[in-house]
Amino acid sequence: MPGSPGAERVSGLQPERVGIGEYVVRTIEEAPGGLAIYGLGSCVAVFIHSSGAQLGALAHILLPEPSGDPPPSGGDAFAAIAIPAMVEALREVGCRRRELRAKVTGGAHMFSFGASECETLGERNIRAALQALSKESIDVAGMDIGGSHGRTLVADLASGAVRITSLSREMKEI
Amino acid sequence: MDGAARACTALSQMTGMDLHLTVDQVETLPLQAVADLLGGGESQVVALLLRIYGDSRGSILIALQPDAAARLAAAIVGGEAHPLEEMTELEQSGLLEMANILAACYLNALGGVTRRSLIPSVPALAVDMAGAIVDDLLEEAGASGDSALVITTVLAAPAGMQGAVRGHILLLPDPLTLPEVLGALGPHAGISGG
Repeated sequence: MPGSPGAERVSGLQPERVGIGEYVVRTIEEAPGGLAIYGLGSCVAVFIHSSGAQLGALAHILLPEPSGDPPPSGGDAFAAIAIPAMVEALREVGCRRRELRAKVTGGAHMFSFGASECETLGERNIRAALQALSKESIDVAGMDIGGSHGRTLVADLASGAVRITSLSREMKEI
Repeated sequence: MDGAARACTALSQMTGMDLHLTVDQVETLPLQAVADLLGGGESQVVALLLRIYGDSRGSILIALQPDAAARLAAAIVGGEAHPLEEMTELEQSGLLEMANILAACYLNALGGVTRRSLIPSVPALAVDMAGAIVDDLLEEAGASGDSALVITTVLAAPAGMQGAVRGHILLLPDPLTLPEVLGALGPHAGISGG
Protein backbone atom coordinates (compact mmCIF):
# COMPACT_ATOMS: atom_id res chain seq x y z
CA MET A 1 0.00 0.00 0.00
CA PRO A 2 1.43 3.41 -0.90
CA GLY A 3 2.43 5.76 1.87
CA SER A 4 3.25 3.17 4.50
CA PRO A 5 5.55 4.48 7.22
CA GLY A 6 7.81 1.42 7.00
CA ALA A 7 8.36 2.02 3.32
CA GLU A 8 9.08 5.73 3.65
CA ARG A 9 12.02 5.14 5.94
CA VAL A 10 14.23 3.57 3.31
CA SER A 11 14.99 6.52 1.11
CA GLY A 12 11.97 8.78 0.93
CA LEU A 13 11.17 7.21 -2.43
CA GLN A 14 8.21 4.92 -2.96
CA PRO A 15 9.31 1.27 -3.27
CA GLU A 16 7.97 -0.93 -6.04
CA ARG A 17 5.41 -3.50 -4.88
CA VAL A 18 5.90 -7.16 -5.77
CA GLY A 19 2.57 -9.01 -5.95
CA ILE A 20 1.72 -12.58 -4.91
CA GLY A 21 3.21 -15.16 -7.25
CA GLU A 22 5.57 -12.68 -8.95
CA TYR A 23 9.25 -11.92 -8.93
CA VAL A 24 10.99 -8.83 -10.30
CA VAL A 25 14.63 -8.08 -11.13
CA ARG A 26 15.62 -4.42 -10.74
CA THR A 27 18.71 -2.24 -10.67
CA ILE A 28 18.96 0.62 -8.21
CA GLU A 29 18.25 3.06 -11.05
CA GLU A 30 15.05 1.20 -11.94
CA ALA A 31 13.78 0.98 -8.36
CA PRO A 32 15.56 3.66 -6.29
CA GLY A 33 13.01 3.23 -3.48
CA GLY A 34 13.68 -0.51 -3.31
CA LEU A 35 11.31 -3.45 -3.66
CA ALA A 36 8.47 -4.12 -1.23
CA ILE A 37 5.93 -6.70 -0.14
CA TYR A 38 3.06 -5.50 2.07
CA GLY A 39 1.41 -7.96 4.43
CA LEU A 40 3.29 -11.24 4.17
CA GLY A 41 1.80 -14.17 6.11
CA SER A 42 2.50 -17.82 5.23
CA CYS A 43 4.01 -16.62 1.93
CA VAL A 44 7.80 -16.37 1.74
CA ALA A 45 9.80 -13.46 0.36
CA VAL A 46 13.19 -14.31 -1.16
CA PHE A 47 15.47 -11.37 -1.93
CA ILE A 48 18.64 -12.13 -3.90
CA HIS A 49 21.11 -9.26 -4.09
CA SER A 50 24.36 -8.46 -5.83
CA SER A 51 26.29 -5.86 -3.85
CA GLY A 52 28.77 -5.28 -6.66
CA ALA A 53 26.14 -4.42 -9.26
CA GLN A 54 23.60 -2.85 -6.85
CA LEU A 55 20.78 -4.89 -8.27
CA GLY A 56 18.59 -7.65 -7.02
CA ALA A 57 15.48 -9.74 -7.37
CA LEU A 58 12.56 -10.15 -4.98
CA ALA A 59 10.10 -13.05 -5.18
CA HIS A 60 6.73 -13.29 -3.38
CA ILE A 61 6.22 -17.04 -3.10
CA LEU A 62 2.83 -18.59 -2.23
CA LEU A 63 3.52 -22.33 -2.28
CA PRO A 64 6.44 -24.80 -2.18
CA GLU A 65 5.96 -26.62 -5.47
CA PRO A 66 3.24 -27.23 -8.04
CA SER A 67 0.99 -30.23 -7.71
CA GLY A 68 -1.85 -31.64 -9.70
CA ASP A 69 -2.69 -31.94 -13.31
CA PRO A 70 -2.86 -29.82 -15.43
CA PRO A 71 0.01 -27.74 -14.06
CA PRO A 72 -1.06 -24.27 -12.89
CA SER A 73 -0.50 -21.17 -14.97
CA GLY A 74 1.14 -19.04 -12.28
CA GLY A 75 4.46 -20.91 -12.05
CA ASP A 76 6.24 -18.08 -10.26
CA ALA A 77 3.99 -18.64 -7.24
CA PHE A 78 6.11 -21.71 -6.40
CA ALA A 79 9.50 -21.71 -4.66
CA ALA A 80 10.75 -24.59 -6.79
CA ILE A 81 10.06 -22.64 -10.01
CA ALA A 82 10.50 -18.97 -9.06
CA ILE A 83 13.92 -19.30 -7.38
CA PRO A 84 15.79 -21.00 -10.27
CA ALA A 85 14.08 -18.57 -12.66
CA MET A 86 15.19 -15.50 -10.75
CA VAL A 87 18.77 -16.78 -10.39
CA GLU A 88 18.82 -17.36 -14.15
CA ALA A 89 17.45 -13.84 -14.75
CA LEU A 90 20.18 -12.38 -12.52
CA ARG A 91 22.84 -14.34 -14.42
CA GLU A 92 21.47 -13.02 -17.69
CA VAL A 93 22.08 -9.45 -16.52
CA GLY A 94 25.68 -10.34 -15.68
CA CYS A 95 25.65 -11.53 -12.03
CA ARG A 96 27.83 -14.45 -10.97
CA ARG A 97 26.47 -16.95 -8.47
CA ARG A 98 29.20 -16.37 -5.90
CA GLU A 99 28.46 -12.63 -5.61
CA LEU A 100 24.77 -13.28 -4.89
CA ARG A 101 23.39 -13.34 -1.33
CA ALA A 102 19.84 -14.28 -0.35
CA LYS A 103 17.61 -13.09 2.48
CA VAL A 104 14.50 -15.04 3.40
CA THR A 105 11.48 -13.60 5.20
CA GLY A 106 7.95 -14.73 6.08
CA GLY A 107 6.54 -18.22 6.45
CA ALA A 108 4.34 -17.34 9.41
CA HIS A 109 1.50 -19.45 10.79
CA MET A 110 -1.37 -16.99 11.09
CA PHE A 111 -4.23 -19.20 12.28
CA SER A 112 -3.90 -21.85 14.93
CA PHE A 113 -6.61 -24.52 14.93
CA GLY A 114 -5.19 -26.22 18.02
CA ALA A 115 -2.49 -28.86 18.41
CA SER A 116 -1.25 -30.27 15.13
CA GLU A 117 1.75 -32.38 14.27
CA CYS A 118 1.66 -31.30 10.65
CA GLU A 119 4.24 -29.00 9.12
CA THR A 120 2.51 -25.67 8.48
CA LEU A 121 2.26 -24.08 5.04
CA GLY A 122 4.72 -21.39 6.17
CA GLU A 123 7.24 -24.02 7.28
CA ARG A 124 6.88 -25.91 4.01
CA ASN A 125 7.39 -22.67 2.07
CA ILE A 126 10.57 -21.88 4.01
CA ARG A 127 11.94 -25.39 3.58
CA ALA A 128 11.27 -25.30 -0.17
CA ALA A 129 12.84 -21.84 -0.53
CA LEU A 130 16.00 -22.87 1.36
CA GLN A 131 16.27 -26.08 -0.64
CA ALA A 132 15.95 -24.22 -3.94
CA LEU A 133 18.58 -21.67 -2.86
CA SER A 134 20.97 -24.42 -1.79
CA LYS A 135 20.46 -26.20 -5.11
CA GLU A 136 21.36 -22.95 -6.89
CA SER A 137 24.44 -22.54 -4.62
CA ILE A 138 23.24 -19.17 -3.30
CA ASP A 139 24.36 -18.31 0.25
CA VAL A 140 21.67 -17.22 2.72
CA ALA A 141 22.89 -14.07 4.50
CA GLY A 142 19.86 -13.40 6.71
CA MET A 143 16.47 -14.72 7.77
CA ASP A 144 13.43 -13.48 9.67
CA ILE A 145 10.99 -16.35 9.48
CA GLY A 146 8.13 -18.13 11.23
CA GLY A 147 6.07 -16.87 14.15
CA SER A 148 2.40 -15.98 13.96
CA HIS A 149 2.58 -12.36 12.81
CA GLY A 150 2.35 -10.69 9.41
CA ARG A 151 5.29 -8.76 7.97
CA THR A 152 5.88 -5.91 5.56
CA LEU A 153 9.33 -5.72 4.04
CA VAL A 154 11.33 -3.31 1.95
CA ALA A 155 14.50 -4.54 0.23
CA ASP A 156 17.21 -1.95 -0.45
CA LEU A 157 18.99 -2.50 -3.77
CA ALA A 158 22.04 -0.42 -2.73
CA SER A 159 22.96 -2.16 0.53
CA GLY A 160 21.05 -5.42 0.21
CA ALA A 161 19.40 -4.75 3.57
CA VAL A 162 15.83 -5.93 4.17
CA ARG A 163 13.78 -3.89 6.65
CA ILE A 164 10.85 -5.69 8.24
CA THR A 165 7.90 -4.08 10.00
CA SER A 166 4.97 -5.73 11.81
CA LEU A 167 1.88 -4.36 13.52
CA SER A 168 2.99 -5.46 16.97
CA ARG A 169 6.80 -5.48 16.79
CA GLU A 170 9.80 -3.21 16.48
CA MET A 171 11.27 -2.70 13.02
CA LYS A 172 13.97 -5.24 12.25
CA GLU A 173 16.75 -5.21 9.67
CA ILE A 174 18.50 -8.22 8.21
CA MET B 1 -32.90 -21.35 1.16
CA ASP B 2 -31.76 -18.22 2.85
CA GLY B 3 -28.69 -18.85 4.95
CA ALA B 4 -27.58 -15.27 5.16
CA ALA B 5 -30.96 -14.14 6.43
CA ARG B 6 -30.96 -16.87 9.06
CA ALA B 7 -27.41 -16.04 10.11
CA CYS B 8 -28.44 -12.46 10.33
CA THR B 9 -31.38 -13.14 12.60
CA ALA B 10 -29.20 -15.24 14.90
CA LEU B 11 -26.53 -12.55 15.01
CA SER B 12 -28.99 -9.76 15.64
CA GLN B 13 -30.39 -11.77 18.54
CA MET B 14 -26.88 -12.36 19.92
CA THR B 15 -25.80 -8.76 19.73
CA GLY B 16 -29.01 -6.78 20.02
CA MET B 17 -27.81 -4.90 16.92
CA ASP B 18 -29.72 -4.49 13.68
CA LEU B 19 -27.29 -6.46 11.52
CA HIS B 20 -27.59 -6.94 7.77
CA LEU B 21 -25.84 -9.37 5.48
CA THR B 22 -25.75 -8.73 1.75
CA VAL B 23 -24.16 -10.94 -0.87
CA ASP B 24 -22.18 -8.34 -2.72
CA GLN B 25 -20.22 -10.18 -5.39
CA VAL B 26 -19.51 -13.61 -6.72
CA GLU B 27 -16.35 -13.07 -8.72
CA THR B 28 -13.03 -14.49 -9.81
CA LEU B 29 -10.21 -12.26 -8.61
CA PRO B 30 -6.46 -12.23 -9.11
CA LEU B 31 -4.84 -13.51 -5.90
CA GLN B 32 -3.40 -10.07 -5.23
CA ALA B 33 -6.83 -8.42 -5.23
CA VAL B 34 -8.18 -10.54 -2.37
CA ALA B 35 -6.21 -8.58 0.26
CA ASP B 36 -7.25 -5.32 -1.39
CA LEU B 37 -10.90 -6.24 -0.77
CA LEU B 38 -10.15 -6.06 2.94
CA GLY B 39 -8.51 -2.65 2.72
CA GLY B 40 -5.02 -3.47 1.39
CA GLY B 41 -2.04 -5.57 2.42
CA GLU B 42 -1.05 -3.67 5.54
CA SER B 43 -4.50 -2.77 6.96
CA GLN B 44 -5.21 -4.24 10.35
CA VAL B 45 -8.15 -6.66 10.37
CA VAL B 46 -9.71 -8.98 12.92
CA ALA B 47 -10.04 -12.28 11.09
CA LEU B 48 -11.97 -15.45 11.86
CA LEU B 49 -11.15 -18.41 9.66
CA LEU B 50 -12.97 -21.72 9.25
CA ARG B 51 -12.02 -24.54 6.92
CA ILE B 52 -14.74 -26.34 5.02
CA TYR B 53 -14.72 -30.14 5.04
CA GLY B 54 -17.09 -32.75 3.68
CA ASP B 55 -17.97 -33.21 0.02
CA SER B 56 -16.13 -30.01 -0.98
CA ARG B 57 -13.19 -28.14 0.52
CA GLY B 58 -12.64 -24.45 0.94
CA SER B 59 -12.42 -21.66 3.51
CA ILE B 60 -14.64 -19.05 5.07
CA LEU B 61 -13.00 -15.84 6.28
CA ILE B 62 -14.86 -13.29 8.35
CA ALA B 63 -12.86 -10.06 8.36
CA LEU B 64 -13.86 -7.15 10.55
CA GLN B 65 -12.45 -3.67 10.91
CA PRO B 66 -10.83 -3.40 14.37
CA ASP B 67 -13.37 -0.96 15.80
CA ALA B 68 -16.26 -2.99 14.40
CA ALA B 69 -14.84 -6.16 15.98
CA ALA B 70 -14.50 -4.42 19.33
CA ARG B 71 -18.13 -3.25 19.19
CA LEU B 72 -19.45 -6.64 18.12
CA ALA B 73 -17.46 -8.44 20.81
CA ALA B 74 -18.75 -6.09 23.49
CA ALA B 75 -22.33 -6.47 22.24
CA ILE B 76 -22.11 -10.27 22.25
CA VAL B 77 -20.77 -10.68 25.78
CA GLY B 78 -22.26 -7.49 27.22
CA GLY B 79 -20.37 -4.44 28.40
CA GLU B 80 -18.62 -1.43 26.94
CA ALA B 81 -16.60 -1.54 23.73
CA HIS B 82 -12.91 -0.90 24.34
CA PRO B 83 -9.73 -0.95 22.25
CA LEU B 84 -8.83 -4.19 20.54
CA GLU B 85 -5.56 -4.56 22.48
CA GLU B 86 -7.62 -5.00 25.65
CA MET B 87 -9.99 -7.60 24.21
CA THR B 88 -10.80 -10.16 26.91
CA GLU B 89 -10.77 -13.92 26.51
CA LEU B 90 -14.55 -13.90 26.91
CA GLU B 91 -14.92 -11.42 24.05
CA GLN B 92 -12.65 -13.52 21.86
CA SER B 93 -14.87 -16.54 22.57
CA GLY B 94 -17.88 -14.40 21.67
CA LEU B 95 -16.39 -13.58 18.27
CA LEU B 96 -15.48 -17.24 17.67
CA GLU B 97 -19.04 -18.26 18.53
CA MET B 98 -20.36 -15.68 16.09
CA ALA B 99 -18.10 -17.19 13.42
CA ASN B 100 -19.53 -20.64 14.18
CA ILE B 101 -23.10 -19.46 13.70
CA LEU B 102 -22.37 -17.52 10.52
CA ALA B 103 -20.44 -20.40 8.98
CA ALA B 104 -23.06 -22.99 9.88
CA CYS B 105 -25.85 -20.95 8.30
CA TYR B 106 -23.82 -20.27 5.19
CA LEU B 107 -22.77 -23.84 4.66
CA ASN B 108 -26.29 -25.14 5.24
CA ALA B 109 -27.52 -22.85 2.51
CA LEU B 110 -24.66 -23.60 0.16
CA GLY B 111 -24.87 -27.32 0.82
CA GLY B 112 -28.57 -27.18 0.03
CA VAL B 113 -28.20 -25.54 -3.36
CA THR B 114 -25.14 -27.58 -4.35
CA ARG B 115 -26.51 -30.82 -2.81
CA ARG B 116 -23.32 -31.40 -0.91
CA SER B 117 -22.55 -32.00 2.71
CA LEU B 118 -20.36 -29.12 3.88
CA ILE B 119 -18.96 -29.13 7.41
CA PRO B 120 -17.10 -26.22 9.03
CA SER B 121 -14.01 -26.69 11.21
CA VAL B 122 -13.73 -24.89 14.53
CA PRO B 123 -12.88 -21.23 13.92
CA ALA B 124 -9.48 -19.63 14.52
CA LEU B 125 -8.88 -15.97 15.32
CA ALA B 126 -6.05 -13.68 14.20
CA VAL B 127 -5.54 -9.93 14.38
CA ASP B 128 -3.02 -8.82 11.78
CA MET B 129 -2.36 -7.32 8.34
CA ALA B 130 -4.95 -8.16 5.65
CA GLY B 131 -2.28 -9.44 3.27
CA ALA B 132 -0.88 -11.85 5.84
CA ILE B 133 -4.39 -13.07 6.72
CA VAL B 134 -5.34 -14.01 3.17
CA ASP B 135 -2.09 -15.91 2.38
CA ASP B 136 -3.44 -19.08 3.99
CA LEU B 137 -6.72 -18.88 2.07
CA LEU B 138 -4.98 -18.57 -1.24
CA GLU B 139 -3.18 -21.88 -0.82
CA GLU B 140 -5.84 -23.99 -2.51
CA ALA B 141 -6.69 -21.33 -5.07
CA GLY B 142 -3.02 -20.73 -5.90
CA ALA B 143 -2.29 -24.41 -6.36
CA SER B 144 -4.50 -24.44 -9.41
CA GLY B 145 -3.93 -21.01 -10.90
CA ASP B 146 -3.38 -17.36 -10.24
CA SER B 147 -6.93 -16.37 -9.39
CA ALA B 148 -9.48 -17.22 -6.72
CA LEU B 149 -13.25 -17.44 -6.70
CA VAL B 150 -14.52 -15.22 -3.92
CA ILE B 151 -18.05 -14.81 -2.68
CA THR B 152 -18.13 -11.54 -0.79
CA THR B 153 -20.79 -10.78 1.75
CA VAL B 154 -20.95 -7.46 3.54
CA LEU B 155 -21.89 -7.45 7.20
CA ALA B 156 -23.22 -4.11 8.30
CA ALA B 157 -25.17 -2.46 11.09
CA PRO B 158 -26.43 1.11 10.89
CA ALA B 159 -24.61 3.64 13.04
CA GLY B 160 -26.66 3.46 16.22
CA MET B 161 -25.56 4.30 19.71
CA GLN B 162 -22.70 1.83 19.42
CA GLY B 163 -21.54 3.07 16.02
CA ALA B 164 -21.53 1.41 12.63
CA VAL B 165 -20.28 -2.12 12.09
CA ARG B 166 -18.83 -3.19 8.79
CA GLY B 167 -17.10 -6.36 7.78
CA HIS B 168 -16.60 -8.81 4.96
CA ILE B 169 -17.26 -12.51 4.73
CA LEU B 170 -15.25 -14.22 2.03
CA LEU B 171 -16.01 -17.73 0.90
CA LEU B 172 -13.29 -19.39 -1.14
CA PRO B 173 -14.42 -22.76 -2.49
CA ASP B 174 -11.94 -25.33 -3.68
CA PRO B 175 -11.24 -24.64 -7.39
CA LEU B 176 -12.36 -28.16 -8.30
CA THR B 177 -15.88 -27.32 -7.18
CA LEU B 178 -15.97 -23.82 -8.64
CA PRO B 179 -18.17 -24.34 -11.68
CA GLU B 180 -20.71 -26.20 -9.60
CA VAL B 181 -20.82 -23.56 -6.88
CA LEU B 182 -20.99 -20.71 -9.37
CA GLY B 183 -23.74 -22.42 -11.33
CA ALA B 184 -25.76 -23.07 -8.20
CA LEU B 185 -25.40 -19.56 -6.85
CA GLY B 186 -25.76 -17.46 -9.98
CA PRO B 187 -24.92 -13.82 -9.47
CA HIS B 188 -27.28 -13.31 -6.53
CA ALA B 189 -29.25 -16.50 -6.15
CA GLY B 190 -29.24 -18.88 -3.22
CA ILE B 191 -27.68 -16.86 -0.45
CA SER B 192 -29.03 -13.42 0.14
CA GLY B 193 -30.68 -11.67 2.95
CA GLY B 194 -30.56 -8.88 5.44
